[in-house]
Amino acid sequence: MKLYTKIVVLLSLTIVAIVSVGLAFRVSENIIHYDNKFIRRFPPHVADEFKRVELTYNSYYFAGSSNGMIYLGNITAPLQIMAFDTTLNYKRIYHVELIEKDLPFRSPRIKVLGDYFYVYEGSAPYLYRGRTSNWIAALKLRGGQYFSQVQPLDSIRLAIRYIAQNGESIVGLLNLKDTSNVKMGTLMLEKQIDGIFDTDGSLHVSPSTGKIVYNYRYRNQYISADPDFKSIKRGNTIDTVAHAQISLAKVKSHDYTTFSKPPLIVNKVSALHNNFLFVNSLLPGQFEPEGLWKNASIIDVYDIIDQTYRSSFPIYHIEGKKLKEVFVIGSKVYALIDTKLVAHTLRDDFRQVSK
Amino acid sequence: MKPSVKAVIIDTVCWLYILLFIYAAVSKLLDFENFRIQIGQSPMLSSFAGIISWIVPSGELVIAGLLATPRTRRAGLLGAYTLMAMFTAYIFIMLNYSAFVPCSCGGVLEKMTWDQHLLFNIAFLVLAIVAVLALPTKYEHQRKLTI
Repeated sequence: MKLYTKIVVLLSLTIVAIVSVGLAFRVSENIIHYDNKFIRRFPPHVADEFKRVELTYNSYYFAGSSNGMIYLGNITAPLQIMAFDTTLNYKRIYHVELIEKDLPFRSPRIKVLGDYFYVYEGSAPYLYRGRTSNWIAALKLRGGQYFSQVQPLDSIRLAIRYIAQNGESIVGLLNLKDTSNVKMGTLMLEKQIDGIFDTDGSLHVSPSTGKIVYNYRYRNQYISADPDFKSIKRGNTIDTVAHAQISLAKVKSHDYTTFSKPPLIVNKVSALHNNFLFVNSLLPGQFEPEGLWKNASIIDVYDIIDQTYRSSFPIYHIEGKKLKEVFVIGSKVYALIDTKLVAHTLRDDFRQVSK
Repeated sequence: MKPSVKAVIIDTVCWLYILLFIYAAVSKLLDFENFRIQIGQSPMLSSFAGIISWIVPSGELVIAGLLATPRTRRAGLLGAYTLMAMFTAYIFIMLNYSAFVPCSCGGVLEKMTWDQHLLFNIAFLVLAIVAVLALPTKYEHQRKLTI
């Protein structure tokens, strides 16, 4: 080879090397975010624990947040509400007072959003609303269709998962100004098997973007809709379970339906904050360290606006106890694990935007 | 430069590359599962972790073989240069364009920071360039034959 040829060959090989690696990077990034083949991405230290509070009981649930506070309800003390500041340094307990007391109370639940809170029970059904300034609530809804989940969108509108006459779940929007006229999102949930078990999942709202989001429990899909249910968008979680893998059995003697074998749970619990959906998936993906799944619950983050997968992070078990509920507000991720409330700082890296 | 000096340079560079690539390939293959997880968790090539985890160590072994055989040494040197350029481009893109930087590489290189790793690679690139430039031209080759 002449000197000239050598230089030309070396230069072209350099270009080939740089272009091929650069191209592979671009293509790989697009696949990860838009067309993921079940490969999770764990950027280091996305959500590190910064505070842990002992609650003594494991019966707490996330009720919501308002003005720099987060609230926990308690299933065994239904009218008690526990408030924390976002750093978990300050704690206060409030007692909710209901103005009308002669209802068939069994297990009321509380939701807090902004200056308002709601007390409800979908199997009664009833719904109270009050202000967080005095924790006194007045009856706003009595009777009508049964429901199973409630998420307030603002002070008068609530996204609700109703139970239709035939038992199937349907998401609707209740307006407290006209409770007799509920707007139903009939196209939101899609029946695959029975429309009851297979459509189970968690209902969320994002007050900042005005979106209603539903995350299926037994299949790899989440749905986001506007409050008028006109624009419905479906995104997929990164696993491959497109069809709910459940089998049901009817118990004729007692007239009820149940699982004939344990169902395959895909998405256990989830949380929505702004346009990000945080999903605790139960299915390990490709190329993941096995030890991680033994010690942690894995949270996958999706952008509901462009339906992309962003990244994943672990929430570690505490003394073998797993994550029960997750809640995200601001740049903090809160987890209920057994009797503990654990706060994590959420670094912006979770978005995984290439520089 | 005397042809004998050039031959020593080429020999040295070839053997350095053979050592490096065999070491790198063997350490990847010995802990293959872990290597695949690392590629899968890399911020750049995760989608191709399955293929790349095979291509890289086998490529390293093939190139080491080419370098060890006198007849294929030229192809080996060019291959070694290209592979090293790809590794370097990988580190450069990762440090400058990816959304996060993973913790470390494997083997002895584990001890290096990414910047040191980049310098290490560039040093090897320079060695390969020197060796390629020292390769006999046709003229020298012919003269050798006529002697």
